[in-house]
Amino acid sequence: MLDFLGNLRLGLETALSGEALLFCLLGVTVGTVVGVLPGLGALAAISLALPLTYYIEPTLALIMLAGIFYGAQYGGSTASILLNLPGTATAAVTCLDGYPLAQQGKALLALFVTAVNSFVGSSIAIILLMGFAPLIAEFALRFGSADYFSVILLGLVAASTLTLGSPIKALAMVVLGLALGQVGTDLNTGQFRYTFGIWELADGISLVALAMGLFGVAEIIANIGKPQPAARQIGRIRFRDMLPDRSQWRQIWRPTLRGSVIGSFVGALPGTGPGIASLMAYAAEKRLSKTPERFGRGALEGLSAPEAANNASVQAAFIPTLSLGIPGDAVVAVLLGAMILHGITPGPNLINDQPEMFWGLIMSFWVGNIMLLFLNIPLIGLWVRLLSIPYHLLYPGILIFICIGVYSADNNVFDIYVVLGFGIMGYLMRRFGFPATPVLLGFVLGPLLEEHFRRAMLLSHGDLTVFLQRPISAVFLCLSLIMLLSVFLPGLRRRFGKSARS
Amino acid sequence: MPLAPLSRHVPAGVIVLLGGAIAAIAATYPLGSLLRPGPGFFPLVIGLLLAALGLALMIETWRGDPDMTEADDDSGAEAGFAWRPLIWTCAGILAFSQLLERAGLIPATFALILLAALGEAQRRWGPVLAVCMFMAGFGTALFVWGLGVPVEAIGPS
Repeated sequence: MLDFLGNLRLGLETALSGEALLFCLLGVTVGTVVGVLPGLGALAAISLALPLTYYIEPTLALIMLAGIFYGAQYGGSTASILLNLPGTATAAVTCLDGYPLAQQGKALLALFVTAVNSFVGSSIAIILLMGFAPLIAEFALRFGSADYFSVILLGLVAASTLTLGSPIKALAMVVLGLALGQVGTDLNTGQFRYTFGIWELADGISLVALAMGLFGVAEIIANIGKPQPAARQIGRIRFRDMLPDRSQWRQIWRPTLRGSVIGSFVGALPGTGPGIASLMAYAAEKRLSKTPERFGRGALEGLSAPEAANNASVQAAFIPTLSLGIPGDAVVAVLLGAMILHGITPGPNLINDQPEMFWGLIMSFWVGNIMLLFLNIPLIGLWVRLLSIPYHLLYPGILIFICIGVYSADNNVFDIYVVLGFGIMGYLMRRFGFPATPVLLGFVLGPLLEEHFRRAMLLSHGDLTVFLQRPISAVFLCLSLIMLLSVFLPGLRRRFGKSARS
Repeated sequence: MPLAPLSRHVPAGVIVLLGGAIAAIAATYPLGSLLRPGPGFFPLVIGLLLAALGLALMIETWRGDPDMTEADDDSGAEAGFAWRPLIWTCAGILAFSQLLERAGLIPATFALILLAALGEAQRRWGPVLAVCMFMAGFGTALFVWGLGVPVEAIGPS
C-alpha cells in the first residue's frame, strides 16, 4: 500500500511538472481539434506528431501523444451530435441518439452529458489501469516466448473477429499487415526479405509512412468533393441549458457505469478498439431498457452508455500495452511504435525499470481528462465554430504536414513514395470495404510474433506442442480458437450484429 | 453498390494472387527447419494463409450473404470511384517529393496544394493561393527554422 502511494506521488510529480502539463495540454487540445474535424482521426494526428516528438523527452512525448488519442474521443462526439457526422469512426454510435437530441434543441444538454460521461468512463478505466496493469505485468514476467506468441495471436484474432464488417476481410487484412511487417532485414540471419533491391527497404517499411498513407491520405482522397453539411447554429450558449435536471441524472447514471465497465473490458482485450466498445454498450443498453423504442430518437441512455464506453476503452487499451507490450488498439499500436523509436521497450519490465514514466503517464491521463472537461464544456462554442471551416481549405494543409512530416522522420524522399503507395492502397481498401486498422496491428505485431515463434521453437527443440503444453499459452490459444469458431457460426454473429444495428 | 457479377471477385482475386506471390518469394529464402526456422518459414506461412483467406472471401462473395459482403464496417465504402481526387492528390504528392530536395519546401508546397486543388470538381483560386502562402510560411517557420529539417525554403538542399 505504501508502495502504491509512493508510486502515485512519483507519478504526480512527473505529471504535474510544468513541461508535462504543457505537453499534456497541447496533446488534448490537438486531440479535441482532430476529433471535432471530420477527416482527420487520432491515428493520422499521432503519426503526424510522432516525428515532431523526436526532439523531446520520451515521457513528455508519450504524454502528449496519448493526450491526442483520448482527446480525440471527446472531440469526436461534438461533430456527431451537431452534424450527424462522426468526427472519428468510433463516434458513429454517438450519432444515433445524439443527433436527434440536437434536433430537439437539446444539443447543449447532449454535449454536456457527453463530456461528463466521457470523464466518468475514462476515470473508471484509469482506476482499473492503475490496479491491473502492475498485476498483469508481474504475472507476465513469467511469460515465455510460447506464451507471448499465443497472446499476440489472440490479439490479432480479436482484432479481426470483433470487427463490424466481414471478419474474413478483417482477417485477410491482419495477415496482409503481417506480410508488410516482413519487409526488411531478418534480424536472426541478416537475410533481406521483400526489399527488391531497394536499400531504403532494408530497415523495413516506416510505421509513420504506413499509417499516414493508410489513414491520412486515403481519408483525404475519400473526403474531397463530398458535400459538407452546414454546422447547426446553436445560438447563445447558456450554462443553464446544459445541465441535466434531476430526473435526467437519474436516467443516465446507471447506463454510464455499465458503459464504463463494458468499455474497460473490451478496451483491455488486446486488438479491440473503442468502436466495438461503444457499439456493445449501446446494444446492451437497448436490450436492458424498458422502453427500447426511444432509442435512436434521442434517448439519453443511448448517448451516455456508448460515450462512457469508448472513452473507457481508450484508457483501458493501455493495460495490455503497458503491461505486456501488446497494443490494445491500432492507435496504441502507433504509440507503441513511438515508444520503441524513443528507445523504450514496452513490456512487463517497464513498470519496474521506469516507474516514473509508467506512473507519470497514468497520472497524466487524470490531468488530461480534467483538462478536457474544462476544454469541452466552456469552450464548446469554439469547437462548433471550428466545424464551419470548409474542408477544401483544410486538407491541403494536412497533406503538406503529412509529406514534410514523414520526410523529416528520416530525411528521405523514399518515405513520401511509401505514403503515396499506401494512400492509394488505403483508398482502394476503403472503397471495397476492407478495414485498415487490422493492417496496422498486423504490421506492428508481425515481427514480434515471428520472433517469439522462432525463439519458442529453439527452446523447445522444434516441438510444436510447446504451445499447448504451457498452460498460459494453451489458454490464449483456446480463446483464439473460440473467437475464430464464432466467425464460422454465423447465426451467433448475425444475432449480435442485428441487435446492435437495428 | 451493385457491381457486375465477375468484378465483385476482383478484390478477393487480388488477395489470392498477392498471397501466392508472397509465398513464392518466401520459398526462395532459406526455409530452415522447425527446430531453427529460417527467414523464409514465417513469410511462407503468411503467404499461404493470405491466399487461403482470399479464397474464403471469394466463397463469401459468391454466396452473396448481404450481411457480410456489403461494406458495413467502420471505414465504409462510398458509392462510385473518386478518380479525380485520387489522381490529382497523388500527382500533388509526387510533385512535392520531386521538388522538395531540388527546389525547396516553398515550391514543393505550392505544387502540392495547386495540384491537389484540381481534384475538386470546382475551386476558387483565390482561397487556394491563400492556403498556399499560409502553408509555405507556416511550414518553413516550423520545419525549416524550428525543427531544422535539412531542406531549404527555396533552392536545392
